[in-house]
Amino acid sequence: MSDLSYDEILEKEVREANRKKKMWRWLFLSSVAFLVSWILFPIYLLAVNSLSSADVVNGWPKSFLPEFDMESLSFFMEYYGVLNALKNSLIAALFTMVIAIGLGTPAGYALARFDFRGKETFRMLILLTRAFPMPLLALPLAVIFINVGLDDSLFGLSLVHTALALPFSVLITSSLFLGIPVELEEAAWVLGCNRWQAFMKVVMPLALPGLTASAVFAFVISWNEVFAAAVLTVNNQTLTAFLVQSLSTSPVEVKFAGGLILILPAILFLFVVRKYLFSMWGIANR
Amino acid sequence: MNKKYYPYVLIAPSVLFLLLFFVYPFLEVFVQAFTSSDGQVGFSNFENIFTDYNFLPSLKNTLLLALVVVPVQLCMAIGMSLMISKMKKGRDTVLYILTIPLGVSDLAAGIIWLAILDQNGFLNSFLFSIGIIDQPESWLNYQNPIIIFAAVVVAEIWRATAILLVILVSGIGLIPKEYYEAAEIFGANSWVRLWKVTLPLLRPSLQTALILRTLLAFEVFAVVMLLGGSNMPVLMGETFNWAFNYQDTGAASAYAVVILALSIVFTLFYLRVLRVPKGARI
Amino acid sequence: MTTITVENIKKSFGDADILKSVSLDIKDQEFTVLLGPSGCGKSTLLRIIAGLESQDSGIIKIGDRVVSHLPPRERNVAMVFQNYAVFPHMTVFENIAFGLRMKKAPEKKIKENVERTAALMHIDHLLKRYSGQLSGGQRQRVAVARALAVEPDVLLMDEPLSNLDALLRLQMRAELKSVLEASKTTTVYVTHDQVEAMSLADRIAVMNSGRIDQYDVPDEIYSNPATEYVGSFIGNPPMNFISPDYQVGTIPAGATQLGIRPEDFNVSKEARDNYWPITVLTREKLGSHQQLSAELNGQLFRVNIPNEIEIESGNTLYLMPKEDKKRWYTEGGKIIL
Repeated sequence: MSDLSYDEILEKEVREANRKKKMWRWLFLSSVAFLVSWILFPIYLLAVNSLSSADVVNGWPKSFLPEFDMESLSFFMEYYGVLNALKNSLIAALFTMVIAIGLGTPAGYALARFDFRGKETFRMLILLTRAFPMPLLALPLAVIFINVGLDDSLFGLSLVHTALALPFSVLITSSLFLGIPVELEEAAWVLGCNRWQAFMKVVMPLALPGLTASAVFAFVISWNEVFAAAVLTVNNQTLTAFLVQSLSTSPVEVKFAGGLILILPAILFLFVVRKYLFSMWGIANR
Repeated sequence: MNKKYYPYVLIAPSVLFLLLFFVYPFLEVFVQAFTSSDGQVGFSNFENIFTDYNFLPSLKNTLLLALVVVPVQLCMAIGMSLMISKMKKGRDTVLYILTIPLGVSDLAAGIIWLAILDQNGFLNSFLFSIGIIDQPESWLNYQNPIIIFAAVVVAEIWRATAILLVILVSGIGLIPKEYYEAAEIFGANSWVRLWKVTLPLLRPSLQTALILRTLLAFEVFAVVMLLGGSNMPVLMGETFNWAFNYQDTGAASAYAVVILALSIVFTLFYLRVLRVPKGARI
Repeated sequence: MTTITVENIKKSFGDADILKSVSLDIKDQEFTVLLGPSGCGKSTLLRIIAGLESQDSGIIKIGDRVVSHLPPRERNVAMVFQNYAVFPHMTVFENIAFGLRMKKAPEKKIKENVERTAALMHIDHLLKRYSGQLSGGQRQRVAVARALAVEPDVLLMDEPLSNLDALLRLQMRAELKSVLEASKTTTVYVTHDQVEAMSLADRIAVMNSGRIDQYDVPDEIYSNPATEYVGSFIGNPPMNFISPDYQVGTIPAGATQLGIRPEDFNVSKEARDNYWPITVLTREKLGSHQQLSAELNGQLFRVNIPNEIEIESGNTLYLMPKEDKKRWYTEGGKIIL
């Protein structure tokens, strides 16, 4: 046995406990810092490349600081077909957003507010779409679209993108409406609204931020989609299709600038709706 | 109108849309895959792709990629979500940053990693500045299939861990904290709590996350095209080539059927392995 | 010998002082109830004793051992949670066995303890079920059995009955009392329900915004509330606090309030010397007695009177506090003994 008194042993124990706590704290913070830079640093490097002149992008060795030269970006913008592709991406994404919300919102409301025969079957159909690599469906649709005159059209593409986005839109809106107490709607009915008025005056204002979020989600899905876009568009290429199809021909600085242009809006939009990201997945989980 | 019909009217547009743009093309993929170019029904498309020299490598690469990437990502995502759940200050900011790749397509992710791993890229510049190499090293060429594979793995881990993270973080959010406290009181240290409380209760989320992530791994192609070009064929990339470059819809559809079959097999596998006994849910 | 010593425990969250230097000496095998309204810090104190939360300063001893720096698992405590926290992915048997498995107890002992405590809580027929297949009351029994199975030094209970419906709560209260008396474990029990506290406790610690106002046996708490706060928190309706202006006779030095329980008045329908004429505002018949709200020059009274006295609202009634039931309080609300 040691000669240490109980108090001394205790003091040692307390010191040890504090030391351990501090060590864990340090380990914890440094892993947070590591992970954050693991995500951010590559994006930063792409930005450095995009904000440097073509000579620097193709040069060696590289500086890790941007020279804030707009040459690459303006070259990219003037590169043949880019502006058009950018416009097409935007149009397809907006179409997708409108169709997905327009179709998905009523279905989400039905799932949230009604019990009806076939509800579970419908839900299964929705969930089933996530058990398949949806972009593949662009293959048969490419053939079908030729027959109905939708080939190489942005509308046709956005229909495929809607097939990707619609399940999310339904699940998100249904969780949104579930979160709005039915009593509020009932109160409006009792006070003289019909179903439609109650929806527009009471539910809509409460659901609007969430609906916006799900619209943004649909937009981003379309904006980022590569495979269907590349298969379905030839002259009306979206930005992703353009970049994929010209991988071997376009100069590197065009690729890098294109990558940055592709990433920025998505990041910004996700920032705006970040609050909803989790409620979406939380419920889409079940 | 009878109130009974309201819900059907509300879901009708979505149902019609999904029938038209999900169920029908889904069946059509099979029709096209089993119809040869001269209109005969049969396996000629499959014979075409099976005898193609790129088929086996692309199947192997796709499966191998999923096999390497998904487990690593799962472990990372579990670690990250536990980390997030322990944070108080700055939690939202860190969470937002870690989920940024959700908004990054595989094409853009490929471009990002190309900027780093390219011959004139940042990795080489860094290695040069600390004196490991004296001249640009071309890592991503056909002589280094393993490095190409590793580069794709890194890019995929960077890009697609976020989707697992989001699902797991919301799954962890559903577990009442009393379970951890009870476990702690009754003698479980943090390691035991992870294995005996968190992971078992997270099963439904793990299931969803694994299914989604594995399917996404089968869909990978733009990253591979950028980093590996033709040196690393994958199933989705071959599908694209047959459809876009060779204009052979039948063969592309046959590839699609192969991918679909893999997806179904893995989905069923996860559903079975990670099923939760009745009455044992939160 | 398992005493619990709480010494000068302080805890604050941000600007809010949840615990302002709390001390408590709990004797071996004693059943102590921490009683107070929500937000008074009682749950925080319990969780600090458990080790689920850390104190800003102060010391917790269990027996002779200082434990305040140790994680919960090294304190040999057990706890029953408000919503039971019965693990949904384990059977009832595995739930009860959990603590013993963590201690690496031999399989034979685990089986023995689980079966014994399950029988004690009358859930021995449910051992193979999952928590999802149990009712609220059964889950609560599993939670208690799980806590008893580890034979802890200290048993901590955080509002364990508050999620049960009224009838079940009454039944479980009686059952808990007998089970815990037999187990002879030192117990700390948190509740906001004064009836629960009165019926279960050896001693009650009444907490008031981060302090312990009084720590005593239930009878003392009821008849000699140490502070005005305790008097008005315990008892239904609470103690009357009356300005001495109405008082005839001697008033102790420094007294600013007279405290008197509603049932401790002499009551008369006719005017008498030194009786206060009060005007009845409302009368509620409560079965065993009737309860009046009454008023005299703006001073409100709560009075319990026998059913035999016929009285209507608006009538006048004459009251005098019973001499031996009078309690006097200082300006600061402290009792004058």
